[in-house]
Amino acid sequence: MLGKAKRTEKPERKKRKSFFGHLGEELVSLSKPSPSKTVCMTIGVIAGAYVMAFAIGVVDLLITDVIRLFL
Amino acid sequence: MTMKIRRIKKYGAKKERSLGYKITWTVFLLFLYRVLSHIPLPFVDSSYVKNMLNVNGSLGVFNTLTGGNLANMSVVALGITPYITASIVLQLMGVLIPSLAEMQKDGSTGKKCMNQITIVLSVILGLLQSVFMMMGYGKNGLLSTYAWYTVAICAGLMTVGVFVLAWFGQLIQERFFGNGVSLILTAGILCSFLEDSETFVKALKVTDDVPMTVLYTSFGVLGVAFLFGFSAWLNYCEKRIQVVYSSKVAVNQTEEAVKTSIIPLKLIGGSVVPVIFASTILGLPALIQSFTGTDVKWLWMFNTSHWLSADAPWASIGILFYFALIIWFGYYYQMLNMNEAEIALNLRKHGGVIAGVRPGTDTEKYLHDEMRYLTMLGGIGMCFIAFVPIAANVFFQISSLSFLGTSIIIVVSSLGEIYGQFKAAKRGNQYIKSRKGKKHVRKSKAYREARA
Repeated sequence: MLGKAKRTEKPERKKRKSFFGHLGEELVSLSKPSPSKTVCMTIGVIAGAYVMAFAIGVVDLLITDVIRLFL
Repeated sequence: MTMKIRRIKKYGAKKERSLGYKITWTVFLLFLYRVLSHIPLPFVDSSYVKNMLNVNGSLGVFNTLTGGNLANMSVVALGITPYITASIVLQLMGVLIPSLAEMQKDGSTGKKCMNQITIVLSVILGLLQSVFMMMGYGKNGLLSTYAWYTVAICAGLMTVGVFVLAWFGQLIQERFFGNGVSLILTAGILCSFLEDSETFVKALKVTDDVPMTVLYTSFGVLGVAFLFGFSAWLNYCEKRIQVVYSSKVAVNQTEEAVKTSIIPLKLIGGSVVPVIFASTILGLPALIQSFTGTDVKWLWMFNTSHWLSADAPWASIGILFYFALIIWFGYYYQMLNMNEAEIALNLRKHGGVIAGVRPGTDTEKYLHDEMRYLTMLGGIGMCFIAFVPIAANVFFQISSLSFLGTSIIIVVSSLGEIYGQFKAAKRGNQYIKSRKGKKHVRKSKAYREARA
């Protein structure tokens, strides 16, 4: 009983991911800051920027006054 | 013996300065920068440049990068942009000239040499830019007296300003606290923050209806806060690639654990650099055009005031060019700073393997691909932030505000860097203190008695 040789099934070919598929996968696998940390960072950055802006503003006013005295 | 000590003193490690000392000197240099930006150029009528800025949007971007010094026509009117342009040119030339590329990767000696070349090139660029500016604008009314000596004096002073700022930037970076160039840029951007906040709120007041005005203002403020938040979020996102080592470490006397470590790849590895580079390159055609006093129509592509406008819709192609530049510079900068082949080789040497990836060429390819996708994602995020002022300009004519677009990325990245360096320096100080404490304990009589 030699029968027919069994046809072996071809293994399914892996679908090649598109560039955007890879991008999506990368976005999911990223280590992101938690929402609470993001909110804290936002507040910190805005506060830091305004504190620095205020300090620079004060220094600028002083410099303008001093330069006016000389010119 | 004395010779040996002398040699150690001469070639040994430099004395590490305290954090307070570094911060004080950084603040002092930034203060000097602000002083310089208040000293006006002689023979110059600054209202001429202010009119030019209203017409040419790209000059507005350039003005933001110079911290408003271009509008004021101060001694540092060109800001630190010639230095940035010089570093772009040198980095790009690294592809063409192999010896320059070698120098870029040659550790501290190469870096020192590169810094010197960058300063020389920035002075040359500054001189060219200032001479063209004075000759181009001077004829049309910038200079009260248009003569060779007025052009020479103004161009000379502007070049000195470029040199001083470039030197300050390098000094801060090498000896003091933070990234010098981004700190100078941030200080320049922040100086108009308070004034621009007022302009922003005024621009949002489109009707006399109070509830509607409150609603618009709230939306506007929330939008700006969202941009800040998104920018900060982008800065902190990273891909953590886990590396497993073949060696094991002892947990206690009986147990052993597999040694692992992480390779962190930042989403925006180049941080603020790609945006600065892209903005500088984009501003160049508009700058040259304004120097020559011509209005070439196809160059409207590089003029942000013509983007998304009804009179020349084709000029909006410039947006795509701008986005392509941001993504490309991000990719190029990442490629310069990260050597995948070296990382793969080091991992192999130390018996480390990235989970699911073969060591050697496969690891190198994997890291390269990861970097490519991350840079693309980070670039898309940055393009989104850069697009906001362009859209805002269509509706409210507020494109040149200092807290929209690229300026936000510069400020957030710079503040993030400052915070990170501050934390690292503080941790270093604590470690030194703890070491000193241990020495003190070792020297103490009680410790010696206990050991005996």
